Amino acid sequence: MKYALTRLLWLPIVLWAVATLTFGALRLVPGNASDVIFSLNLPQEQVERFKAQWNLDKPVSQQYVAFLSDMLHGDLGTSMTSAVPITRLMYERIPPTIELAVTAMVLSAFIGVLAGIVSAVTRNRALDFVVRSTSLLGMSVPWFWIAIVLIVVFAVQLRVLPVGGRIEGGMNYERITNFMVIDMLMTKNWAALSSHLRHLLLPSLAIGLTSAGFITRLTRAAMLEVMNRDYVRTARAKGLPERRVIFQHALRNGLLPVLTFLGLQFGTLLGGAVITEIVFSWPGLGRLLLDGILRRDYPVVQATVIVVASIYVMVNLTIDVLYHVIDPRLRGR
Amino acid sequence: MTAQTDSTATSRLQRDVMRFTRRFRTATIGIIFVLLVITGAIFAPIVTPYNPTMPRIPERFERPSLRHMLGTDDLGRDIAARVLYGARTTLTAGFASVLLAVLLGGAVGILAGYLGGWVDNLLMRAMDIILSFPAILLSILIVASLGPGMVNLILAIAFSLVPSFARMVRSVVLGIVTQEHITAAQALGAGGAHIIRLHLIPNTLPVLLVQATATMAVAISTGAALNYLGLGVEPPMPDWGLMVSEGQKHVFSAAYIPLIPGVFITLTVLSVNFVGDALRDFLDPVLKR
Repeated sequence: MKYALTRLLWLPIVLWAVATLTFGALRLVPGNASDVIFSLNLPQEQVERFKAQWNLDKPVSQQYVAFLSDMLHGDLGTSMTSAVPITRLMYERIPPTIELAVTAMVLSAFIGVLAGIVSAVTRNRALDFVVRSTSLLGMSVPWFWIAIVLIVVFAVQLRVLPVGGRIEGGMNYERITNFMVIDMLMTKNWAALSSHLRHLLLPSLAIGLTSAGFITRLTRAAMLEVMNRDYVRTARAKGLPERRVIFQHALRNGLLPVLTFLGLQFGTLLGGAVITEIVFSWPGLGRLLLDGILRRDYPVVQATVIVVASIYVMVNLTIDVLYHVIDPRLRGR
Repeated sequence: MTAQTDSTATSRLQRDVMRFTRRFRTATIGIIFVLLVITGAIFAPIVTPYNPTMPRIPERFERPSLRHMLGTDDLGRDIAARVLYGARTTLTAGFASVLLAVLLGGAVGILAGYLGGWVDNLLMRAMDIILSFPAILLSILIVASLGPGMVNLILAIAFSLVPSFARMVRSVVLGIVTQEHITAAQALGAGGAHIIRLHLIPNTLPVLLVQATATMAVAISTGAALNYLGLGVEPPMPDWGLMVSEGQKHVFSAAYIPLIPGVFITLTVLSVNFVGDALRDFLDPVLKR
């Protein structure tokens, strides 16, 4: 409990640091995004008006104070190119990215744990070797490229899965939370749900395969570690079927390090989502970030980076605290 | 006499190499592949007769053949030539960013671990802040701010890698500063710089080497990803990540154009991972399984 409280008290400080680093990176470095506007050879008067509108005529310290005050009021600023409040853009863009990252996490955990168990059980036999090489290959494949491989195989050659967007164009659905799976379950819109899931599969697989490689290796090592323990030997000695020994005795304890790793991996998956969204034209934060960079829309870049990092920080905090709750050995530390 | 010692030295080296290759077969394959790519990149003008940037429109979209071993792209440029020249940017970005991160992270780690107190606290909290960003996001933020280009690409990758080196070096340093030989050196009046140079740096080198190799794989991937997003080197400069993104529009008609450069990224990263694994097994027998 004390641990959870200390971590919670640190949260605002970490978020402040994240926001400040992002703000600083985009302003203090020479040749930053906000200078570009002034190199466009616009009439002086127009430049002045623009500067005043975006507070750019004030010193950085004043801009920073205004920025922090806006952040505290939940105002992420306004897009320079579309004049849309960024908070509204976030409502549009956060759910698609979370969808991808969470699906990728589920897929990678499922594939990774299963492959890891198989690998540990068949230790040093042919199957183990195949699983180990595949997992190392999976760890080495860049997201954006495996995404294209998946497109070539499943969309171009086999023509079994769609590519591009979250759902088939022209399909009707009701927006409530903007998390499509949740919305469609709530409205019992099965046709749209199936279309959405089919669109979700390839991008999340592309993101998840790398993590699945890491999880396989970790699960294998963790399983081998516990399989040598006395209580596993006892379980075997008292005549339990091998399947029960593995799944009920070894796996339960072996999975703890895997769980922590999953939490840490969420940041990587978020990063993967940012990249993979570009390949699949998925309308999430990654697309928003890249468009922001290409259009020099620095309030959008700033807000997107802060939002993604904040999600990452909060997920890590939650996992950390949960881990302390689950594992009694860590309590009281 | 001299000749004799030379020959025993050679045979011992030979024996060591033999033992390493037998025990770490995959690592050996990895080393050979990376060396091949490096050689190909350095001697690209000799290895291939083709210009990697000049369009040759009559020869566009040629499938792999004897004349163009990996085919040609949408502008008729030889893909094999572009892969060879592209290896230069990909590998340079990988090596340079890791080197920079090792130097910076190593310095931070040694200072934090050796000086302790508020310096340690300040430096490590700074590292924590960097780590509260997903690594690729931080790199994107930095190139977005600095603008495209090779140097900025290297800086962006290196910056996100610094904390892992700093943390590791610090923990190694914390483990040895209390040992007797350091206390003895201090008692003899050795200064901080002397202790850092003669005792701390040599002791951190093995772990740094393992970590640097493992990180190299990450750095190459990150560089490729930034180039893929169009935030790294600028066309027509050939680069593997950039080649994938430029070729992507032909995924339905000529999929080999985006696929081939990705094969090289994957094989290079895989090779580096093989070497990193072997080094870790070699230097850390406890983890071996």
